[in-house]
Amino acid sequence: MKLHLILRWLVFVTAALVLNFPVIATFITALKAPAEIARNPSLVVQNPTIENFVTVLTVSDRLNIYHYLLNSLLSASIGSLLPIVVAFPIAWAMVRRGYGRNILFPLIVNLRALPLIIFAVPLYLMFSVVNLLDTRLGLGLVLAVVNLPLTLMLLVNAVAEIPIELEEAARMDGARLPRLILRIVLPLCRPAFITTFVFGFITAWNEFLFGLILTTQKAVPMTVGASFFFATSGGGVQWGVAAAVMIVAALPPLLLGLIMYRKITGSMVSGAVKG
Amino acid sequence: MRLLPSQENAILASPMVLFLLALLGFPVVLSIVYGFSEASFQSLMSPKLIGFANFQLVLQDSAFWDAAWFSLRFGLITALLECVLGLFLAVYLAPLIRENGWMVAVLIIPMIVAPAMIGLMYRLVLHEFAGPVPYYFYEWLGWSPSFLSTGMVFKTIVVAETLQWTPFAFLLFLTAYQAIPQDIREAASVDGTRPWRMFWKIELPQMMPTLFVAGFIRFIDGFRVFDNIYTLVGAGPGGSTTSMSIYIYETFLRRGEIGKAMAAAILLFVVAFAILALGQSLMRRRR
Amino acid sequence: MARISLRNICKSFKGLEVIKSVSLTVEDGEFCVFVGPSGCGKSTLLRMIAGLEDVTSGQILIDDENVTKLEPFDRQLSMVFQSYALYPHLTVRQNIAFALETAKQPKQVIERKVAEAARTLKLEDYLDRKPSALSGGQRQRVAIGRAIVREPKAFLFDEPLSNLDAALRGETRIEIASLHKSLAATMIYVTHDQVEAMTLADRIVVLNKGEIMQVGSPRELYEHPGNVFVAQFLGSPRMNLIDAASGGEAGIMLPGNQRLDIGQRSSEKISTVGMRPEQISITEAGDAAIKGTIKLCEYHGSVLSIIVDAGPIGDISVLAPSAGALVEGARVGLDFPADALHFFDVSGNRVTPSPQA
Repeated sequence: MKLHLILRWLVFVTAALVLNFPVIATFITALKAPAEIARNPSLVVQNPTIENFVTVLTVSDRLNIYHYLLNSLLSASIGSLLPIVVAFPIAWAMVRRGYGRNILFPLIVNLRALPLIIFAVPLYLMFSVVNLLDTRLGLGLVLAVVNLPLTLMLLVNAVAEIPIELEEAARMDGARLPRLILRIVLPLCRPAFITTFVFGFITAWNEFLFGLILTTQKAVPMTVGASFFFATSGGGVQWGVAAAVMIVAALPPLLLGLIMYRKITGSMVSGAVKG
Repeated sequence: MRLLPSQENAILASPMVLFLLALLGFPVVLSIVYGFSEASFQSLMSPKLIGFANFQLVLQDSAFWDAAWFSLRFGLITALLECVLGLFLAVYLAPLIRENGWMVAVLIIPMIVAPAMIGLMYRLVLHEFAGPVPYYFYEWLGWSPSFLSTGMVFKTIVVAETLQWTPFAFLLFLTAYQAIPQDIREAASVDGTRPWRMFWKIELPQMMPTLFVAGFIRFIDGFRVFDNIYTLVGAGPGGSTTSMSIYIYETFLRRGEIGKAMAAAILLFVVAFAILALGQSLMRRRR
Repeated sequence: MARISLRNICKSFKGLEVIKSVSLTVEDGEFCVFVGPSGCGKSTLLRMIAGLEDVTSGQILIDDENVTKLEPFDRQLSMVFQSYALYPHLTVRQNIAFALETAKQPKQVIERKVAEAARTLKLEDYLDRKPSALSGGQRQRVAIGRAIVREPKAFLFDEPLSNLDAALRGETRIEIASLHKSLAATMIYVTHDQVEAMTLADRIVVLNKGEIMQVGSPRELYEHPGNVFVAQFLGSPRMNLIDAASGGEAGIMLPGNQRLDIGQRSSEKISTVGMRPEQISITEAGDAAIKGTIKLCEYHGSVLSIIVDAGPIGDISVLAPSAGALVEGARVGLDFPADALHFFDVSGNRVTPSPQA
């Protein structure tokens, strides 16, 4: 019994270190001064410094990280809020009226299994026609498509969990459809909205392919911006600064995800199993 | 004004339908038009219809078949590894996690970091001068493989992908494992079932549907991989890491062969759709 | 307040007939209870009156207005649900006020009516709480409060007491009865509990398999059950039923060739005889009409519940005063007044034997 307990802890610590190794190693490197990185690539920092983070968070000609962060923030917000707005009304109709349950629902849910590149090329062509290339709105709209399937699933689950008697009681109390939805269904779905939003925001923030293809400068999101930083440094990569950029870029979804990990894991599982 | 329920339904559905028409309907039309046309970025607005020529071009391109083979292999291998590792972690750590729920949070961190970021991080971690991994290889073994060389790069990206997404399999299995009613285990152990037999005869059969779902989802994700490979090595030395997604991307943006890229995308759509339909009908039969 | 009429109401669900041509009129101010075993269609019938279920054919009239096609919100009825169905995100006050706000009543009116309902139902101290912070009994009262402020044409109750514990159930039952008295409102109440049905109802509607078995006051139904189903459904323990055959002039014949004298009445058509356990008394075996051995004797405090093995006639249950000293295995006789017998024909319907000519 005792031995098993120790072994289990050992397995956990090993798994935690190995699975998170790239993140841990990047964080450690970000704490090293440039001179130390050249001398000491090990995982032990001799003189920890926040110098790299200061460089990253200071606006300069070479790097304005706030530009990328703001692009990501805005496009990910559009990309996570818009699907909720679009999917909520039809989610109710699907659950309570069976409307679109047979064709629209499976169609949308299956979208998430398709390779995103399939949409990327025609969307590029369409955006070049309607002038949405390299705009936050354009990127946000596409991210909304990416988030649509899971959002719909989670909202359908949320509506289905509302006891039908509550809606019946409201109808007996004289509520017609708009009041029923706005005063009863909507408030009861609030927890699901929050979870769906956070989940969608993380997904949108982490998205890379569309950012790469559909933006060039004005609307470049953080994930793509970070990769630019590797490519454009002519005289070799400044590893300390690069590491700090990656940590800063990964931080917003990481914080959100860790604060709400129970909800996030819950929606991941229900999204996978019920789909 | 009184609305009929069918009118109400139409109103409720309209935001979704309009959204889908605008952002998917239009592109679908474009795909079809360009898939059957000759067009480059110079002649974007005047595509010339050429029938099935683009499809012919794609199907005769050995790089396309290499990419398809790569994606298939990559998807299968990573899905298998992730499921085996995830299953082990879920079952072995479950007793510990029952008392320490926070452990789940620690183990799912890799999933919350963007795959593109993970790819970039490996650039650093595996770098021959600045990276800790080669450093420790030299320190302890006196040599280090060159991780991104033609011979090694496939193994490297398989490991990178597996380490990032094992947590997903782990999470699904943990949930399935915890959902097995405790009284079934108790009944079995009162009947004298030992832990090993309990796992094979009682617990694993109950987790089979989840195993199937997780394996399928991971395969699809591996099959369409782009971000982490692209940021780590791009198309790889000699195109050795060109997945289907990367093939289409390169054809489109690097070489500007719009019609060919579209045709490849349509082919990929057909293949992906077939895999999806097959997987879902298999899953339905299991239930 | 209103009169509610059902005319040949039918309901089919996926080819299955769940309600088979029910016609009924609930009078203005009447307390009408639908009772029956689970699956008999009583809740479906109530929900059809509410407008929550479609009617396959037939008409529903409220005060002679045909409401069959109206949505629930246009029928001006209110309903108390088994699960209470309180809005969890609203406070008690908002729950009670919801319907009034929906009807866009002026603020002062809403406040006055909510305060009034809260006083009647002793909810004044809880008005600003959420339903999750209330006990089961308090939630039940909020549900009732929500129903009464609307001043609806009629109240519908769908098994409102079944989520309460035994003590609270009795208390709330009395409250509902006094509510009916003070409001003089039309109420339709669905339950599977015969005690609730007997104590609350002006009129009981007994349903079985989607059909009305009998309609009448509790006393009528208990004393003159129209058929075997009603006879056995009401009363605990259940009415004893014994197979019987006409014995011509000699009364009726019970199994084992035992003769039962029914006075100077015709025994034709009788195929079953019923007697209620509490109307049977235990006597010396002697020359009693039915004799048997005590098989089981349960002590219930105020009464003894006894099962007597009466040979070919079968088991007979009897309620006897607990004062008596009866032991299992004792040989006893069963005695009952002739007018306590109920007679039924082959198809289970009540027969009233006519005096012999």
